[in-house]
Amino acid sequence: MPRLHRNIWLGAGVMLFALALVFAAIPFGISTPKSVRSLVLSPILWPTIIGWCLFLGGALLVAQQLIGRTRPEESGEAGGPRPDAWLRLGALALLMAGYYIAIPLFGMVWASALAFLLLALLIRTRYRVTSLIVAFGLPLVTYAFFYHVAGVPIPQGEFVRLP
Amino acid sequence: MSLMDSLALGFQLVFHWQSLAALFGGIVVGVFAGAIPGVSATMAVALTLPFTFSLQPIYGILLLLGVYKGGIFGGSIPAILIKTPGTPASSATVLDGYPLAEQGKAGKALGMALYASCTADLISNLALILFAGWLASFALSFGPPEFFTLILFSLTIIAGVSGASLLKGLISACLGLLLATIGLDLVYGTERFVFGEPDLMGGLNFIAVLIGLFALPEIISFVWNPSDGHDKVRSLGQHHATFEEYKRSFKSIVRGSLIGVFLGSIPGIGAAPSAFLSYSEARRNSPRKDNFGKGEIEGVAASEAGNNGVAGATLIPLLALGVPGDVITAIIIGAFMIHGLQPGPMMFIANVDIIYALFLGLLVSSVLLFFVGSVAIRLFRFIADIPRSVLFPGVLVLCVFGVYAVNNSIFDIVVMFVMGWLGYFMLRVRMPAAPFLIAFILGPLLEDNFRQAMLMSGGSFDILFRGPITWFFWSVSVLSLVALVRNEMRERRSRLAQEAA
Repeated sequence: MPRLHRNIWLGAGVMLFALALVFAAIPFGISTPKSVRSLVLSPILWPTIIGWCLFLGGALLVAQQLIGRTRPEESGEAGGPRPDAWLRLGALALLMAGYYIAIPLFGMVWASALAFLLLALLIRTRYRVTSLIVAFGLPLVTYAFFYHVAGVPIPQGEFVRLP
Repeated sequence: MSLMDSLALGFQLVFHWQSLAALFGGIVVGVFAGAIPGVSATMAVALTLPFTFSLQPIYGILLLLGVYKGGIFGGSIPAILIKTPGTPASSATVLDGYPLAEQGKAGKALGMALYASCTADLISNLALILFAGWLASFALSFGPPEFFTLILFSLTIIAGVSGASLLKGLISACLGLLLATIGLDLVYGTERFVFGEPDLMGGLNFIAVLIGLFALPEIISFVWNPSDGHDKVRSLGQHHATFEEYKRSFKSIVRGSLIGVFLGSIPGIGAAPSAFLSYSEARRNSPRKDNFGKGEIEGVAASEAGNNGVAGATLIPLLALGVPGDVITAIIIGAFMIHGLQPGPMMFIANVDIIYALFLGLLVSSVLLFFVGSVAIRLFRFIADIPRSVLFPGVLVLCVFGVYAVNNSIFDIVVMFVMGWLGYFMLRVRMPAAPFLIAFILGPLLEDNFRQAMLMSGGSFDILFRGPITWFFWSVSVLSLVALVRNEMRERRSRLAQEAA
């Protein structure tokens, strides 16, 4: 089976998203008051116009690719995507989720130091000592600026609290 | 208030050490960040923005403008020394800058890049001072229908010119407009796409969206393909740009600056097309046209003049009309809003002191750029040595602190992460992120002006065609759309012909 061009998938995805927007997200996600005098003033008008524009954009993208029949785009990487790259992306997504959860628990400074070290490990840095120093130094300096200079109450966490 | 009074107020604001320190600090950050391969001027401005919240508006905005100006020049340093443009706008500089570096004349190329950048920056700032006030006084007569058509025109041109594909640019702009509708409705106060989440009632935080779109995708891309490999840095050599060479290239520098001023004042076009147009015009008119592409100093001067000529001019639509000229000015418009200022014609009446302080600060920035740039050129070897595997984790930490600091909200961090993945997806499918961000900023203005116009007319669309100004913007919108579609079809035909061959 010939490989479909990436733009066809993208266009089809945009069309599906637009239909879901117009027929599900807008009716359920936007409340229209009964007092609306005219359709042009209704809160749903603008999102509906955008939804149909998206649908049209997606349809045109598919049509353009089907009529043009250009070759599938090069991914830019010899031999296609590597499994370890996908694994690293998955790990980064987990790291971001963990970072978010760790902020109220450990405080932003220590959560950031941990996230820095884990990310440096994930990308297999050769500069381990530098990473260790920056992992703790950067969040502490940034904390000092925001907390003591800008007056932003940076979350402190439940274990080690900073002055 | 007379011009002299306004200037005096501006003087009072800008000529004391805090303002000058903010401007100087911004230029230092911008030049060094722009010089680091992988850190764009956009990312530098986005990351600096949260650090300006605690400053007075004028200091914060001067700091960001310094980062903007420094970042654009900084991008030319790696373009010449390692053939890697620090910003897309520096791509034209590579054409003659790198061959000069290969000949052992990198110092000459960088010197000329600096002289051309500072001259173009000064011309661009003067254009801003001359035209912004005039345009703002004209725009004072605009009502909601005129602003609606103006923003619509800006969106068509921005969506069209910001990427390789017109359709992807339009889809990106539509997504930005859609995200801008989240929150409470402007007229009735009812909820839109809030789904019971109180954090969404005020809409998505602009800083979280922009940092997510422009900083995180770079980190994710690096995780996809991590590499600390250093490119070969060429030495500066013993040759320096002479006054004779500057004089010989002066015509190309002025021409490039004027091209930059013209293209920069049109929203959406940006520095890269200006640099290439300036370069090709210099080559067409130069008596040494055969030497272009082989290490011609005038080529470096022309591309850098075109590149930096837009820096002041992009602020013309920003300050006079409230419409950002490119992504970086879109970020700067956010800084104005965070400090309680609304760029546009009314700012020339309500905050004229800040406007004139900015004008004066920008003129000073051209001089400061000269000194900071001279030092940065000599320090580039150390800047290029910063390992990316230490830099990018640091950027992630700065993003999280910065985004949290805006509203003291952990929810904004989630928004930033989600936008980061969306930005990475857009990068992979080659959908430009710039129309998304600009539409996200202009979306509420577009809808607000449309609905105000409808309220004024009782729902009649006739008001959108009420006078010569609205007709002018409708006409240029249609013209720009026709031109963009024609251009897209022509490029497509030539691509297909190439593939067939």
